[in-house]
Amino acid sequence: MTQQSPLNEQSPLDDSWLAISQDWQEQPYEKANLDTLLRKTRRRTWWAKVSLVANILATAGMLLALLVGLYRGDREMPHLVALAVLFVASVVYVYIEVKIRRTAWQLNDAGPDHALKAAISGGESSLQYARLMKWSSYFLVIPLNWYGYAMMEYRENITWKTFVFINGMLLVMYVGTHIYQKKRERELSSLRQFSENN
Amino acid sequence: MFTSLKLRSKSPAAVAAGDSKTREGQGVSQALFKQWMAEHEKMLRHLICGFEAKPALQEELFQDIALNIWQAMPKFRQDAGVKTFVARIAHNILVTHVAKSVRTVKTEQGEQAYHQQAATDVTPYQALDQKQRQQRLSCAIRQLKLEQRQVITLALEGMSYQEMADILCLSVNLVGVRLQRAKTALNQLLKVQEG
Repeated sequence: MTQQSPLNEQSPLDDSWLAISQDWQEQPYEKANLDTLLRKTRRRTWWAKVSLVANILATAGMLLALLVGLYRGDREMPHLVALAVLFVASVVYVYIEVKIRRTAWQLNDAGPDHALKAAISGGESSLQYARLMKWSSYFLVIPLNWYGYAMMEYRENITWKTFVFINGMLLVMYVGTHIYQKKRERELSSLRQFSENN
Repeated sequence: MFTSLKLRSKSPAAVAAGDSKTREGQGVSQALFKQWMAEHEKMLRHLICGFEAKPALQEELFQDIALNIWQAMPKFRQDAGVKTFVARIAHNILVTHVAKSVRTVKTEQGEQAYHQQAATDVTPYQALDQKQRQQRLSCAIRQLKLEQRQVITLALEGMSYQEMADILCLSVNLVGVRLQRAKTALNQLLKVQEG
C-alpha cells in the first residue's frame, strides 16, 4: 500500500473511532427466540412453495376437468367454455408467478448491485401481474356473466344474486389489484430512481 | 467460527445442498441455521439499526434477512466466511429496503426530526450517557448517504477492508475512499449536535 492510498489517509473521526465503535457494538437489542425464528422462517418458505404448488395443481385440475368433460360429454357447454377460459388465464398467472418468485429467490447472496437489479426485475414482474389481473377483470365481465346467464337454462338455483356475486368478486379483484399496483409502482419508481443515482 | 463438534464432519454446503430430504440432513441444516443466527444476530440487529429507525420495520427486516439466509444456505461456499456471507445477505435486503422506500418523504421526515433533535440537544457527544450516545450515533448514521452508511456500519462492526470489499463487491481502495468520506460526514453530523 502506498502512502497516497486512501487506506492510509487520516480522518477527523480517527481519534474517537474506538469509543464510537464501542458505543455501536454495545447497543442493546432484544434477543430473538431462535426456535420461533426457525419455525417462522420454515413456515414462510413452506407457504410460498405451497401457494405456488396449489396454483399449479389448480391449473392442472382445470385442464383435467375440461378434458374429462369433453371426453364424457355430460357437462353443459357453458361450463366447458368457462373452464377453458379460466385454464388459459391460470396458465399465464402461474407463469408470471413463477417468474416473480424466481427473481425474489435470486436476491439473497449476490452483490448489492445485483440485488437491486433483481428487485427492479421482480417489481416489473409484479406490475405485469397486476396489469394482467386488471385486464382479466375487464375481460372476464362478459364471459362470466354469459356463463351465469347460460347456466340459468340448466340450473334453477341461479338467480340475480349469482350475478351480484360474480360482479362483486370481479370488483373486489379489481380494487385489490389497483391498490397492489399503485404500491408496486411507487416502489419500482423509487428503485429505478435510486439505481440511476447510484 | 461455526464449526461445532457435531457439525464439523459436514461442510455447510454439503449439509444444505445435500440430501435435504432426509430427516438427519434437515436437522443439521436447522442446527446450522440456528448457530449462524445466534452468532451473528447482534451484528444483524446493529446493521438494521443503521438503516431503519422504526422498531416494527426493524423486526420485519430481521425476519426477511433470516428468511433469505435460510434460502441461501445451499449456495454457501466454504471459501467465504460465514460472517461475510450473512452480512452480504443483510446488506442486499437493507439496500433494497432503502431503495424501495419513498425516499423524498422519508428523507425529509428523517432530516426534519434530526434537525429538531439537534436544535434542542446541544450537549457534546462525549458528555452524553451511553444510551444517548448510541441513539445519536445511529440517528446520525441514518442521515449518511447509502454508500457511506454501508461502509460505516460494517466498519463499526470491526470488519476489515477486505471483508467490506467482499460484502459490497467493491475494490479495497474504493472501500477506503468511501470510508474516509463516511467518517468525515459522520464527524460533521455529530459536530452539528455538539455546536
